[in-house]
Amino acid sequence: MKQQELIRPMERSATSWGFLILFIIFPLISEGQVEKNLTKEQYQVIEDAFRKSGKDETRIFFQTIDYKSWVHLLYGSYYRDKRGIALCSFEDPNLERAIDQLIDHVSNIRVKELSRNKLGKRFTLINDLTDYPYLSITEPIIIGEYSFILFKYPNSESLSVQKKNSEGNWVFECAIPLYVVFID
Amino acid sequence: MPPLKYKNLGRSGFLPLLLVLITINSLLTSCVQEPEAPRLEPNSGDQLARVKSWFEENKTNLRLPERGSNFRTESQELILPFFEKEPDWDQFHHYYFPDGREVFEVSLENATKYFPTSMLDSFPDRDPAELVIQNILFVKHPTQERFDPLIARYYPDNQESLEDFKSISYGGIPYDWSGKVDIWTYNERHFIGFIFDNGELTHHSTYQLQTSMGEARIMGDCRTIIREISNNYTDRDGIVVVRPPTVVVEVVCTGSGGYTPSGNNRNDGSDYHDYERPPCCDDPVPAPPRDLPSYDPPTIPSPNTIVNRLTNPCASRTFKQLSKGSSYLTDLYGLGSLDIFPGMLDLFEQSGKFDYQIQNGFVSNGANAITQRINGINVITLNNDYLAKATSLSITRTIIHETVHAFLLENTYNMDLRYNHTTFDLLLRYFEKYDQNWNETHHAAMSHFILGMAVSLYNWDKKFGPTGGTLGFDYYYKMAFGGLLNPDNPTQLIDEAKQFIPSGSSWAEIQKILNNEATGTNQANGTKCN
Repeated sequence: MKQQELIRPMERSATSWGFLILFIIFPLISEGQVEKNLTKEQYQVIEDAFRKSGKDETRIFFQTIDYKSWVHLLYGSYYRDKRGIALCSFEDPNLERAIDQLIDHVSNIRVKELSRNKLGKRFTLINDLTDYPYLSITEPIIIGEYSFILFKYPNSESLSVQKKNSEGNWVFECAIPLYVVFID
Repeated sequence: MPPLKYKNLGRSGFLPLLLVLITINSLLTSCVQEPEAPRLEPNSGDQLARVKSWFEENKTNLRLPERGSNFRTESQELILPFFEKEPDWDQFHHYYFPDGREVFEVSLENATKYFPTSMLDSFPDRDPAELVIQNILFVKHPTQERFDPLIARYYPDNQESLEDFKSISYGGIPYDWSGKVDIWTYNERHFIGFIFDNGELTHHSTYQLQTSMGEARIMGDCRTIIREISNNYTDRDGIVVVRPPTVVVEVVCTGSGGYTPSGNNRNDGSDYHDYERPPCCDDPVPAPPRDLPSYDPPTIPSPNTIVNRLTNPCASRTFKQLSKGSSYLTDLYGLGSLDIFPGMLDLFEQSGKFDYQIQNGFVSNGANAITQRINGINVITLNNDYLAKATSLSITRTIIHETVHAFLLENTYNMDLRYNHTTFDLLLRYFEKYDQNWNETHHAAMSHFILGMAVSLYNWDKKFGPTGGTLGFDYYYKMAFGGLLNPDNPTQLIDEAKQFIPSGSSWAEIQKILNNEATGTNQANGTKCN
């Protein structure tokens, strides 16, 4: 009996310590996963990327993804030649420079939760990765007059490039498919 | 571009037919690239000038001494027809070997031309000398500032394989070419030969002098053929001069042969065989001393062509038949010229890149086929399970459909095709419409190729297929809708294709045809491909 009485305070003490540790660690874990929100300009980039969509609804994963390894495909001669890369032409040297700088920016992308209120009505946020077909995106990266978003579908990954026009809108410039499988 | 729509042409009047033909012409000009001079990157002219300058500076040292011909005779080396060595710098191809070495292939016209005696039989009414193409390859050394020259001779086997300079190179053997590519070292020794049958590299060969023993060493799947090498040639007056032949042993081995050097294996499993001249054994007497720079034949890969890796005999046969293409639609007022399949393969060929491979294997999810880009190659994989039950008609349809995917992918990645604005604009338009999803983009764009795909299928059946084209064009046209599905609702057709459904037909009816042919039911019109 005495033994049990001794154990109970110890259990209570351990439980308290557990809560305390969780209390300290949880914000750190959360910080690692969702660091901060997207900026207003980043929301504008996302919105404009679907400006010419022919669909009534766009189903999109509720967080941006921090998938980064794709960026290495943009360098070297695998996809790229002197004139451009896939559908993107280097007629504007600023685009080539922006792509060259992209690797540094991609290393800093984080998982960020998309705010339902800051997106247009066409977007449906989904949180089930098996809910086919879904689209997940990286947070938009803005380098000068160009912006970049990685579009990730179940069977394709493509880097979308937009350019800011004189009215301040982001306009589709070109795309670089990085991985595509056609299943028929 | 206005959409193409097939509407029971047999009952239409002349005016609608004329409109269709005009539209077809538009589509053809959008699909088939005009032949043109070799396309080069902006600096290629400078690069070629660098090659020319290097060659002028070094050619004397590269050549055999004046006594070369005697030397070769006395030493019992294999005597081979020599070649003139002044390239025509205005005609050249520019490409890279798979290991990244840069190659300039320049026309090397001979005043006297040599050819195998077999060409006299293959082309009884022609002067074979006019049909041989001879080029010099300058292979950039990977580390030193020099080029290693090789000579390539292209001997066609038949009328269909006659090519001009622009149409054939070591970096691009036509996908349906039959003949032999012989490679010679610059110091006039045979290096290796490659034998092509309908674009497929079937054998490689080397020559050896017939020894007193009369035997040659045989390795692996090789056989020896005692052959007379013709020394006949056409002189400047066009007269064929007959010279005593040289008797040699030709060692012919199955496949592209060679070996795959470590570190150069490509993950896609495609061939990359390198060939190096044996270091000593073909030269009973060492080569005479020469001034620097020394000439060592470079390592070379096998010639580049479209890769048919189909191991399923029926599918492989179907692919080869389909590649030939032609205009068989004489009963439909020449619509056969719309046969897009060979035109698409031509584009891969004319672009100087053979980024196309077709194979069969296991495909997950029960799909008929998949197309994907692996290491820069558009790889089509037909599902073994599908091949086991489908009719040849269905398999042909699928090969055409997947090849359009490969064609559209090539348009995306290959900037040399970018001037083809119609296809390019189609891709961009649908890419934005379909939220930058490539699957939907391709199938929407492919809707504009339905008529062309139908013609390719019809032409194939008419010449090679099980029914001889007797099903009526409507049937092939409906089959061309296969795979154009809405990913949001995979039982339904994608919106862009709906407008092309022939009047009086329905998607449900088309689906039934597609399913019957894909599973080889007793209601299928085709026959099983096994």
